[in-house]
Order: sequence, then structure tokens, then C-alpha cells
Amino acid sequence: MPDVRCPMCSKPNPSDAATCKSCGARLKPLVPGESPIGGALGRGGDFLLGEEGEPGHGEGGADWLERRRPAADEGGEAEHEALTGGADQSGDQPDWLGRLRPAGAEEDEGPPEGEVPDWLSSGEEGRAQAEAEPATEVPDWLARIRERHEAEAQAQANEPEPAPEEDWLGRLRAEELPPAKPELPPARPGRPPVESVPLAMPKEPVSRPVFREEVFKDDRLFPAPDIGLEPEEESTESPPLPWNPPGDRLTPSRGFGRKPSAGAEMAGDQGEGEKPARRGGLDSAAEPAWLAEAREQADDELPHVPALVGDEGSAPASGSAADVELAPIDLPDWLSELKGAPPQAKPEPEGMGDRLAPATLPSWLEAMRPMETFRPVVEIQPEEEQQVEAAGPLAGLRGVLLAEPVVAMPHPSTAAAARLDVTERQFALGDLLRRLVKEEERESPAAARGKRRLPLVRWAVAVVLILAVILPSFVGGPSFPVPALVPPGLPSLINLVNELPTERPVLLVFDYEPGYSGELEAVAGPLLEHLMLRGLRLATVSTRPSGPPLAERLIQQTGEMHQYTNGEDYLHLGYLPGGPAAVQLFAQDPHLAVAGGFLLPEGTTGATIWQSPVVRGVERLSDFGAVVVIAAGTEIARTWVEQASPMLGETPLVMVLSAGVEPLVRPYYEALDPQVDAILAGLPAAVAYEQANGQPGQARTLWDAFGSGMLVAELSLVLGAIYGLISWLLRPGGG
Amino acid sequence: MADLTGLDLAGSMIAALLTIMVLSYALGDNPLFRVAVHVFVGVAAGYAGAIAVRTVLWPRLVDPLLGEGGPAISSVLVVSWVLVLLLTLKAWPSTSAWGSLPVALLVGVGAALVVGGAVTGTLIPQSLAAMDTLNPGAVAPLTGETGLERVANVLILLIGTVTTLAYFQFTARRGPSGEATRSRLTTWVADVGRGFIALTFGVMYAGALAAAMAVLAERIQFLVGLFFSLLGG
Repeated sequence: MPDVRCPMCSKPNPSDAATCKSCGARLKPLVPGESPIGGALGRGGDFLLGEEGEPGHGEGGADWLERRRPAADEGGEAEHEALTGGADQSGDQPDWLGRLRPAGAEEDEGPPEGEVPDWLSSGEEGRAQAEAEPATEVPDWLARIRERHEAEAQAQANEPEPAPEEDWLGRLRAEELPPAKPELPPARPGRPPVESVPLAMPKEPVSRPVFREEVFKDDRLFPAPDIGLEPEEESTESPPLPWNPPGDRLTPSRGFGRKPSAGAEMAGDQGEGEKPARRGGLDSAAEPAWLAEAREQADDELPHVPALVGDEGSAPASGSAADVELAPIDLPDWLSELKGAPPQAKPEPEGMGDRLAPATLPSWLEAMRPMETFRPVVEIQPEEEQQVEAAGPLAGLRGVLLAEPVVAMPHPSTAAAARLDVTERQFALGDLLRRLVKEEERESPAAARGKRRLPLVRWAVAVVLILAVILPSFVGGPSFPVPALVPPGLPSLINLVNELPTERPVLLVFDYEPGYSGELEAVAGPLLEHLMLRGLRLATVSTRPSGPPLAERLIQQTGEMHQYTNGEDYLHLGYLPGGPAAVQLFAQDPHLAVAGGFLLPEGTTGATIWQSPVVRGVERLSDFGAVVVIAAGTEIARTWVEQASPMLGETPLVMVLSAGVEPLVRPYYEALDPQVDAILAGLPAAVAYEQANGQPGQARTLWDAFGSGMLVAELSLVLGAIYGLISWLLRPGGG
Repeated sequence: MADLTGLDLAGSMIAALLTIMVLSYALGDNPLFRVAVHVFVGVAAGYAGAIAVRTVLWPRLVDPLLGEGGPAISSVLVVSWVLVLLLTLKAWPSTSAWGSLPVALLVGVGAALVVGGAVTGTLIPQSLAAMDTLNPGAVAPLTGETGLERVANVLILLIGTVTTLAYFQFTARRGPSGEATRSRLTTWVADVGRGFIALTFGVMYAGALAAAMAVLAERIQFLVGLFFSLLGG
């Protein structure tokens, strides 16, 4: 014979095996009415059915119970007594179940004993087999139900009969609820205590059947109910059943674990005089009064806004259906309160049935709703214009809220909607900035062209200065004596020049603009004269394009008397392009820095300039006998000090400066480790140098004019200071 | 200036004319002054360009290519030409971005040299000079100052340096009224520093005035000498 594979573990089993030898699963489907051989259901149904009162006892479909009965007898008479409770007088059922029936419901309530209810059936196959049973095999319980219904039909002939329900539960709801209610079993330890709930159960305590372990051996069929009861222990409370009998299904508040609401009692206290009224296809007899009132109120005031629109053409789902579903259920307090406060709404006007009613929001929610921009976007359209969702779990539904306005379309950010917290200082600064910007934008009116005043004071000062400078040249006076005091540092400069080696050339740096030539030529003249007197060779260079011509001019003026010639006694190395970089390069490698020279003698080019007898033997900056920087500005003087002094070695650095530059270069000279070895600045020092040379030169020529002009300038400054002081004293509030 | 002939006379006349045009500024801003300024700026720029081409570009970029023994191409020459061409692209807005490379090179090298030289050549030596010894027996190497004179000079230099730096210290505490105020000591020190700064500016102004007066005297003597030369000529 072919083996039968287990539907659970797929292992082969003999064809005649009822359960899998590997996993114990049932190999044949369990069908109500059939006899599960040794099945757990048969044993499980034992405690429900009793020994002799089972339906179909002695009939062909209940032989499995016959086979099971000897086993039960072997279990001991005492156990059997405990199971049946000694109330097996009826011979059909255990006594505790027998007491349940007259108290709470008719004996035909609930599914028949010995048969598996629909929710326990293994599927359509089992149900099909059950329906295929011949009508002649109607069990007793069903016959009794039919008889009772026939009697009731005759008694209620005048009453409109609702549509017959196929479900036995629907018929149960039409019945009266029992006035007495049993108490719930005590709560399991660890759970909140549950008050006793009046149920549609008999008041007198019922003996609880004794469970045997094999009843729940196969927990795949009968999962052990979590009821917190121990086996072999009797209780006066209602027994926990593996499936709720019809009476319990009417009062499911036990499963909530909360105190039953008043609605539960109301449901149980339904009077007999109340006529059952169908609503929404369901019986309203079990509907509590409060729910009926709430529904009436809701019908008057509330339009229901369905969350989803059903199929096209179908009427909007009424909320009454859901209400009726909950009607016979004992609700907890919190749920009853929610149910008791239905939302306010107006009845739907005529012709608006297919349209969604406008949703109403509370004021506080309306105030905080940042959805102004969404209003025109998510406008609810009529149902016929709404699109049908094409994909996703909501496919096929109409009127689904679109996610695009929320996700894809731009909208103001809700994260940064907080108000800006600005302090007073920040506000003041912001206001200042605003005023500044506004002031810039303001077009200033054209200044009124007042009466033009002649600069008489400036003209007078100019005329006086020019006259003071001209008079000594024309008239020969006033004459100013040469400085009696030798400027500090001049003697050291004279000594330095006197000690310069004659075999090494002196580098002259002409770094000044032509505008300063009038002063610097007069100042540098005595030094250049001194160098020529000693017969030193001179090499000139400049970091300014105008430097080489100025060098040629000064040397020509001064050397004319000493018969200095270009290429023999002096040489112009030319222009050094690059500013500080050129100075640095020249200090490191003079041959690389010098490009072409200026006014080079015949036979000398840029490539052979260092072969000239003037600069022969010069490889580094320190090979020069001295470096004399003639500068009119502070920056160029500092550049030579900073870039060239580290390369000079023992070669002295002499600064010939304009009078205005000397104060900023003098610190380099007066330090303990001086970076400048000598300074010659200003016309007075030049005159003193000329006096020391014994040959008056250009400085002495300018001395009288310079003295006269300085005197006028000083007088002008004093007069101006006196005028300002008097004006300040005469000004109101000034003194 | 007695023997003015030919080109020297023309040059002296032009120089005298331009000098008068510049001195006309004493009457106020006028076209003569502006023309003289434009001439000076143009001549200076043209002369600088001519000098740059004659003494720098030609001998360094062209002469090596036109040498008698053939082009003497070196890496320095190639790099120089590339940089020159890139800098030339600055002339057109569409290609000016390419000219940023040599400009960046010039600016970077120049900045590095200036900063490095300022630190090693000015900042450190001058800071050490401000902390000169107060030993009366020490002698300044160049000026020969010694004794009390040198100590006084060192103290003046130290006080002047500290107070001047304190004047530029702008950190202050905020008072109860919200205004930032210096402490009394800091205010006093800063006032002394401000006095030193004013004194320094005064000396610099006097030097600038003396320089300007020397230039004015030289120009006036030039004009007077030219005038007498023309009269005597």
C-alpha cells in the first residue's frame, strides 16, 4: 500500500495510520460527524458531551465514542463521577451544562455537543462532508430546535419575521437573555482583579468538570486556554471552556479583562417586552438602550464620513452596521463612554449621499493647522471624479488620499516655523543696519552751491613761503648759519667712509622717485663727494625703473669735478625687477639678479657686466665695500634692511634718507645689535657733512632758502595754532 | 646753469614750465596742474615700460633665443616664457583666468618674502631692542651713548613701546550699563601711548615738511637760476 505523507512533516506513514509516527500530526482530516479514531477531539469532546447523552449516541456516525467509552470507564468511577458531576440524570449532558441551559439559554443554544463548531472545523472540506449527510440523520438537538421554532412561529404569527439567518448566533440574539448571570472565574494571579460580571449564566455554582490531561494533549487542536486554573481542582465558578458557548459569546467582556460597562448589564436586562427590531440586517433586540439612543441621535445629527469609498454604485457604508456589531457585546467603561458621545453632525441633505460631508475640526485644531497651502491642493472631489487607486494595498479603492501633495509638492517647512527670538541688542543692531541700508538708498540732495570763497589764507601762505624761499636767492639774505651741532651719527658715518677699503666697490641703491631728487641729491651729495674723494669705485642699482637715470644724473653732477667715468669708476647695474624678491635675489646672487645694466660702456653687455673693472671680484653682496641705500620711503628702506642685511656680513649698510623717513628707520640704527650702520637724513645733516668735507655743495646752496622757508612755515604753524586757540576760546561754550 | 645750449635749454625750459604748472596748485585745482600731473604719470609709465623691455624682457627672453651660437634654451627660459604668455592672457576677459597662475605666483612669493623678512628682520630684532639693558655702564655701539643718557633713552624707548602697544589694546570689560570701558590704569597707559604716537607723527610731519621745503627751495632756485640765465644769456 502506498504510504501517506504527513501534511506537517512530510514523512511517510502507513496508509492506515491515523497520526504521524514522527510528529504525531493527524493524517486524516477531522470532519464533524465522523469518528476521529483516537483523536484528541474525541477525547476532548468527552467532557462536553458526557457518556450517554452525546448526540448520535448509538448511531452510525458516533462509533468513535463507543470505542472511547470503555477507556473512560477504566479511568475510574470516581473520576467519572467528578466529570459528570453526578448530574447526569438527563442522560444527555453533564450536569453543569444542564444547569446552564435552563438558566441562561435554551438547551438548543450553542453548537451541538459532540460536534465541532464551525470555527473549529478544519475547512471547507469538513463542512462539505457535514452538509452531505442525509437529512434523516438529524440529531436530536436539532430536532428539538426545530420543534421549538415551529412553536414560536405559531405564537408570533402576527409579528414580522426578520430574514432568516443561517447562523445560529443570529437566532440566539433574538432570544431573551437570561435574568440570572453567573460569576466569572477569578482572575489569574498577576492580572488586575476583575470584578464579577453578571453574565447570562445560572447563579448557582456549577461544578467544574475535571479535566484530564489527555484532553489537552493535542494542543494543536485544543490550545490550552490561558485561564489560570489547575486541573483536578473543582471550583464553584463557571468552567473555562475551550470554546465559548453561545451564552458566553454574548458577553465577551470577560476577554477584555476590565470591568464590564453598564451596557453589559443593560444587554443582560433586556426586557421581554422589547420587541426585536432589525436594523442593518442584524437583530436589535440585544442592542442596549443607550446605543439605540445614541444611534437615533447620530442619525439626526451626524453625517458619517466614510474613510474609504466602496465600489462604484454602492451606497456609502452606514455606520449602523458597525454599531450593531458591537451592540450585544459588553463593552468596558471607556469604550462605552466613547460610544455614548457620538460626534455631532447634521443629517445628510438630499442628493448629497454620494458626496463626502465636510469634516469639522475643533477650534484648537483649526488654529494650529499649518495646511493653508494644502487646501486648494487636496480639495475633495466628487466621488465620480475621484480616481481609483491603481497600485499598492489600497488598489481598487476610490477616493484614496493622494500622497503627492504631502511628499512631492513644495510646501513651507514646518520644522523652522518657530518664532525668532531676538534680544534687544540684536534688535537694535538690526535696526541700525536697516537704517544704514536705507541711508545708502536715499538719494542725497545736491548740495546748495554757496558763494564761492576765495582761498585767501592759502594764497597768503603760499606767497609768503615762495617769497621766503626766493629772497635769499635774489637778495642774498637772510642768511642762516650752518648747524653748530653735528647731528648724532654723522661722525661715525664719516669714519665709516674713511675706513672703507678702496679695492672693493661701493654699491649705491637709488630707490627714490624723481620728485624727491631735489632733497635726496642734496643729502646724498656730500656722501658721494666723500666716496669720490677717496677714489672708491661705485656701482649703482635700483628697484625702480626711474632709479638708474637718477643715479646717472647725481654721479654726473658730483663726479664731474672728480673726473669719474662710466665703466671705469662707476657702473650702472640697472633696474632690478620684482621688488622685495629682487632684493632677496640680489642679496643672494648678484650675478643672477642683474639683467642688463644701464648706460653700459662700449664693449660691456649684460652678460659681461660682471667682467667690468668696477665690479670685478664681486660674487656676493658682502663683497661690496659698503651698501648705501638712498631711499625716500620707509618701505623700501625696511625692505633692504630685512632682505639684505642678513647677507651683508661685515659690509656696512648706510641709509641716506629723506627727513620724513628717518624716525622710522632710526630704531634699526640705535639698537645694541644695529642692522643699519649709519644714517644720513635731512638737509641739516648734509650741510654738516659738507662742512666736514670742506667743500660746500648743493646743500649749502639750499640752506638759506631752506632756513627761510622753514621759518615761515614755523611762524605759520604758530599763528595758526594761536588763531585756533582764540577761536576755541571765543566760541560759545568753548572756554 | 650758465651754459645752457641746445637740448639742455629745451629741457630746462620744459622743466621750468612743468614746475610752474605744479606750483599753480597753490591757487587751487586748475587745468595746468592737472596737465602737469598727467604728463608726469604718462612719462613715468612709458619710461618704466621702456626700461622693463630694454633691461629685463629683451635680455632675458629674447637674447637667449637670438644668440650667436643658436638658441640657448634652458628650463628657466621655458618657464619664463610660459609665465609671460599666461600673464599676457590677462588682457582678455575670456582668457584672464589663465593669467591668474603667474599673478598668484608673484603674490605668493612676494607675501612670503615680506612676512618672513618682517619677522626675522624687524619684529624679533626690534622687540629685543625694546628690552635693552638698563646697565649704566653699557655703551651704545654706534651713537656712543652711555651712563644716564643711555639709560634715559632706554627707558623712554621701553615706555614708549609699551604704552603705544597698550593704546592699541581694544579689549575692555562691559560695565553694568552695557558700555565697554577700560580700567583706569589701562586708560592712563593708553593716554601716554597716545602722546608718544602724537609725538612720532609730529616728528614725521616735521621731516616731511623739511623735505618738502628742501624740494621747494631747490625748485625755486632752479627757476631763479634759469631766469637769470635767460636774462644773462
